[in-house]
Amino acid sequence: MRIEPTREGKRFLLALLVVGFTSLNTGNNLMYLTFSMMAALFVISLVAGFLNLKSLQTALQVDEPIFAGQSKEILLSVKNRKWFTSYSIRFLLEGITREGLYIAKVPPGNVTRINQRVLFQKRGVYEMRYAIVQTSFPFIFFRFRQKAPLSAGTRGTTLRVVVYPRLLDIERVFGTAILTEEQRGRLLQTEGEEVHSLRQYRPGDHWRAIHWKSTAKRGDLMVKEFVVDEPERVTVVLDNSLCKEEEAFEKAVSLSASLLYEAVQRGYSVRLITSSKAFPFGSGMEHLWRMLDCLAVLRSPRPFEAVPPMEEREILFLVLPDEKTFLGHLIPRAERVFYASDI
Amino acid sequence: MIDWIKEVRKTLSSVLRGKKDVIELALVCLIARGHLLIEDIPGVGKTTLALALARVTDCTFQRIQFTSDLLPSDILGVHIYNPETREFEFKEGPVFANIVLADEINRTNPKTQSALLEAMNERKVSIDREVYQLPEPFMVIATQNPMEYHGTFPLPESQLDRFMLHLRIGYPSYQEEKAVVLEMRDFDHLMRLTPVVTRDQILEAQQLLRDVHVEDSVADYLMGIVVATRGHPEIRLGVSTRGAQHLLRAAKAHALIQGRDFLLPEDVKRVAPWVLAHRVLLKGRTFIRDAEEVIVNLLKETEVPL
Amino acid sequence: MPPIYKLITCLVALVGDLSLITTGELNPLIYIPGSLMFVGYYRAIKGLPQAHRYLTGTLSTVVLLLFFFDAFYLSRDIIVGVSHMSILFHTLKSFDIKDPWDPLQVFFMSLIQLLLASELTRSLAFGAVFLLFIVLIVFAIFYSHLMKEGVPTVRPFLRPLFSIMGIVVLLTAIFFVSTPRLRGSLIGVGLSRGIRSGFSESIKLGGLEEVKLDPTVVMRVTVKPMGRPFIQGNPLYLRGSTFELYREDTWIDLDRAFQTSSRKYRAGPGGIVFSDARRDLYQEVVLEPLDSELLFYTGTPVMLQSEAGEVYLTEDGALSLPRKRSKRFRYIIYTTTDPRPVKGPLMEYLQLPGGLRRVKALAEEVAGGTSEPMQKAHSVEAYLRQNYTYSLNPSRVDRSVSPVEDFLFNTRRGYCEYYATAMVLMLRTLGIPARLVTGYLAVEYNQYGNYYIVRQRDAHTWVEAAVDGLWLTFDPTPSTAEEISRSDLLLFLDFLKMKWQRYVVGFSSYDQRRIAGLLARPIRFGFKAPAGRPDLRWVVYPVPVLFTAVLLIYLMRRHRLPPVSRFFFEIRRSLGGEPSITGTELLQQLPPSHPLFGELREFVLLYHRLRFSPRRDEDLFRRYEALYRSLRKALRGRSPSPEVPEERYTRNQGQQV
Repeated sequence: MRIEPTREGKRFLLALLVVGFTSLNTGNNLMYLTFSMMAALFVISLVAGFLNLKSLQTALQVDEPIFAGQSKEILLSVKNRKWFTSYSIRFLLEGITREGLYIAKVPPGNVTRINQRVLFQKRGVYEMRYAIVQTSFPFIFFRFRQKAPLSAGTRGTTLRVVVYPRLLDIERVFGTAILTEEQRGRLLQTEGEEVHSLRQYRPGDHWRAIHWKSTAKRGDLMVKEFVVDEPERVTVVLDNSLCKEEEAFEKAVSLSASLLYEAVQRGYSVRLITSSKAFPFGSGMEHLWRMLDCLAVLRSPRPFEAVPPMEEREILFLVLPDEKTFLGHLIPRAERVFYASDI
Repeated sequence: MIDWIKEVRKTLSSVLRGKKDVIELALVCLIARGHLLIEDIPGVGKTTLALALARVTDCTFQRIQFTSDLLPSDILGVHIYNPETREFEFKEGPVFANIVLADEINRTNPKTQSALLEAMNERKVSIDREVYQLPEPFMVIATQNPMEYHGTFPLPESQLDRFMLHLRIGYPSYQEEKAVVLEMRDFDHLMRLTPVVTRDQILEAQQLLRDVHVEDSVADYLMGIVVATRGHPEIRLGVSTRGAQHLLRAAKAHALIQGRDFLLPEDVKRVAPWVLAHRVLLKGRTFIRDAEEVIVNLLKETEVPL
Repeated sequence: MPPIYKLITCLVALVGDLSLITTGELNPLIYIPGSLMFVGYYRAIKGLPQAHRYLTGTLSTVVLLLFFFDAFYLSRDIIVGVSHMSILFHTLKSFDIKDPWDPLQVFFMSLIQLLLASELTRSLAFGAVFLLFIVLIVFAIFYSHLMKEGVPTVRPFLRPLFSIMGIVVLLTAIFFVSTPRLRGSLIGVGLSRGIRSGFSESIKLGGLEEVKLDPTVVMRVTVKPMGRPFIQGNPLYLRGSTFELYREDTWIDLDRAFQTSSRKYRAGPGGIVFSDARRDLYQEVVLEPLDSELLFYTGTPVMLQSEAGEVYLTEDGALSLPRKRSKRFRYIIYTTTDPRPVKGPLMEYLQLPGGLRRVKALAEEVAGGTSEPMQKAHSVEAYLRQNYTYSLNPSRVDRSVSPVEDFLFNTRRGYCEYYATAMVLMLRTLGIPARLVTGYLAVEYNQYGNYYIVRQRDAHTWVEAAVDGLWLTFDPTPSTAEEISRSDLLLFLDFLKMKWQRYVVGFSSYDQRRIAGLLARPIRFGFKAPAGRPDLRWVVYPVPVLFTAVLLIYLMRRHRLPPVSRFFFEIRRSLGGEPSITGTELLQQLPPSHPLFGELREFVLLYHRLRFSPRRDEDLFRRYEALYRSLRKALRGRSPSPEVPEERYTRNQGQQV
């Protein structure tokens, strides 16, 4: 535990010494009385502050997933292992909140929880081994600080929070949808093997798709909808090999994350290629989180080791921080090229 | 309190050897008005459990085998034009039963899955703007093949959340299994089971749930477990508020089954792995038993209120 | 800043001012600018705009200049000057409460005022103000802490706040008692002021009227009889000095004037011993600072206990310190009530100024009926008592005669000095050696504290005459005693004042030693360090302290949990159950064949029922408690692991049975 006197505390200490000397010198008992009171305040500051911080256990929980620019609830649980209440305690979480979280009262035995919305400004990994627990209770003369292990959940491990890149509303930013109407609709079509569902006949549907059994039941022409056996594929390539300008790079990362997010949400099979890592195709949220994990900590610049070969049936999105690129040969092949500097 | 529990248990364990825990949790689910998801390899008694439960509780029973071409109307029912009355008549689907066994629910497409899940959740069926109430008690026992089987549509997390309990049955112990094999019982044996409890008695028990006393520290214990799943280093997505509600209901039902009208921390602790495991999304791992393990470890680290 | 914080700041400032005002040393003019403070705080609390920086800056300079003028020309006292200045600064600051630092400055200023006041006064009022100050300052700096943390309300903190206030008061008392006291000052001179009147070596007749009206308390005397009967509350003659030579209407104390016949006594281990006579009376005197080195007592001194290292005692019983004191002085004196024997030549007690024929004639007339000196003395005493009127302002009738003659024959009015002088002179004309004694006649008795309150106006003069080889006391002054009846409240207040003066203002290193002695008493008996070994008795001190602390912590720990929970907690712990283990799980850790299984099962069942069920049942609790006791007894002496082999367990149980 670190104890540091505050500005007020230093002055008070000085006054205490002066008064102490004066009363000793004059032998005036009334002055001794004042001195004793000051000494009492001083001692209580020290002892109460010390006891106040003792035996506090903290745990921090963050509601994941978190995207940069999003405010998220963080939940701090404090357990007081003493037999008396702790008061007026501030928890400083370096890198997460500047002013920290304040708890007025932690009764003994029980777990006290406080939550606070915190805005995560930047993507990346926030690793926290300790929270700094601070109190200047009951007076203002001292500040007591102590590192409290943040046993995440209930385990004694380092709390690791991954903040994913900021998500952009791409349609708003670029004025047009990323996927054309056709690309959106392509997922559900009246060809394929497995029946997905039935819908009413629309002019142009092939007669082979008519589901006769239900047509008989409902007295209306019904067609089968099939699920395409191979979902459409989307590749997002982010060229982080050359860009040195941080702002543009951050935008490019954000853009790539947003593209991935949208594509996965739409059920595409998606992959991400950056200079540091290339993912295979995959779908589902778990796959998305993995790619976002990579984007959360992506740094620039790093040269491409090898660009994986592009495939036939895929929609290629090329995300470039600026005009300079190592992947010029992919531009004609791309469905769309995003320049982050345009945002 | 619930005097028939013992009898039901006895009867059920005579047909479902060595599965005391599963029987207990199935009863918890019934009384808590929840639905049961059983995930396991075929042939370990999922159907037996569902059928036996229906027989002893004097409930109607329907079994729906989910296949890839099953349509929502195949489950819920359809309006059929009756030329005589010149009106559409509603033909109830198999979901109109007290206990519905939805076998291999992950074999069918998401649309059909969600039709069932909606009916489960709302306890009614709405077709063509007509609403039909499902019978009470109503419980769906859905079975699902483990994830590693191919050609399936795994239930999305949001749908999994609607099941109160998620169980694995597993093989019985060697001795029990040997006895089962040697007995050579057939399906008829199940059909010969006689009811030991009426439907009304079950509805009554469901009503009792509300009167189970929950002491504040027990509620805190329960919430502590729920909250600990959020931000747990191994968990990507924690338990939702609905999950917490289900946990409380299941725990209360467990208390009732134990013959108590007040909740204990151990009720919560007992049912928590089965209520919570399918509601959390682990980081990097996908098997339900991993999630169970995480929850069990979490329970081991959570102090019970004194 | 919330208004309540400003209000507290205002109160702290007020208490600071109050501490100075109660000293009575201030110029009343200062109240006018001082009360402007209320306007300032009213504005601050209402949130009205605060004074501009330049304005307060300028005014501060003005106040500083005023201070120099005040300290060197007006009050001619630095301390009073600083006090005035501090009140003005409080007023100035009240218009300038802007940021959180400002109230802290106010608190500091009030603290300084408190220190100033402690130099200006000794009164009990200071004590009251001081207590108020403690309460307010704790609240104020606690609030400033909350302000710093940005907490808007003090409500959740009221409990710790009050306990901290209590602890502060307690600690203040402890520190006050235990801070070391020095006998002298390190640098400079003590600033204390004393009562500016007293006893000199000579008294001019007719110069003490003022003193006889002064109600200032001079001393408080507690008397305890030691064997001889003593009636508490009866008038008590406290001797100061004796006067032998009467010349030109002035009494002169020869011993003190010529430093003769006084003997120096040095303090021994138990005190200063004057004689080995029997100790009849114990007197504990708290003497205010007087313009005299005399110590007062009744009887004949046997032993003195005080801080003084040496004292002087004259042959006729004037006890004095080597020098005057500027501080309150406390002493305990043991005396004997036997009259002192006449020793040495008596010539000086028969000295007479010339021209006392009329006096001699009167004396002989009054004492004519007897030849016994004792009878004569009594006759003179009775004559004076009965035929003269007590008056504090005897106007002279005939300035051609001496004041004594004027008293005896013309005015027939006077106060004790006239009576006593007349009697001494009359006795001397009759050939009886006599002397004048000055001191105090204690008449005011406080039954709350069982002590005498002696005031300046109780100064008294009486007569001692050498009769039959003994110095006997005579008091010719009629007892003026318009019955002093003071209200109970006043007496109680004086009792408080006495305690305040005695134990706070007059607290000394002597008292510290006494307290230490009291603490050491339990171990004074008991053991003694063997010869040649270091005395380790001090080791014993921390033991009770530690014991109390440990006991306290232990008790608090145990009582953290209500009994129902605690019983289960203890049983679970002794069975090695972790904190996450529930009752049934604990039970499942034991094999059903375990001898304690049945008991534990019932115990767990009852625990569940008592702890978590909404119903309460006393009978169940009793059963539960009984089970707890029996389980605890059975589990004690066992290792806390549940996997203990059963046989070992039964063996242990067998031993206990």
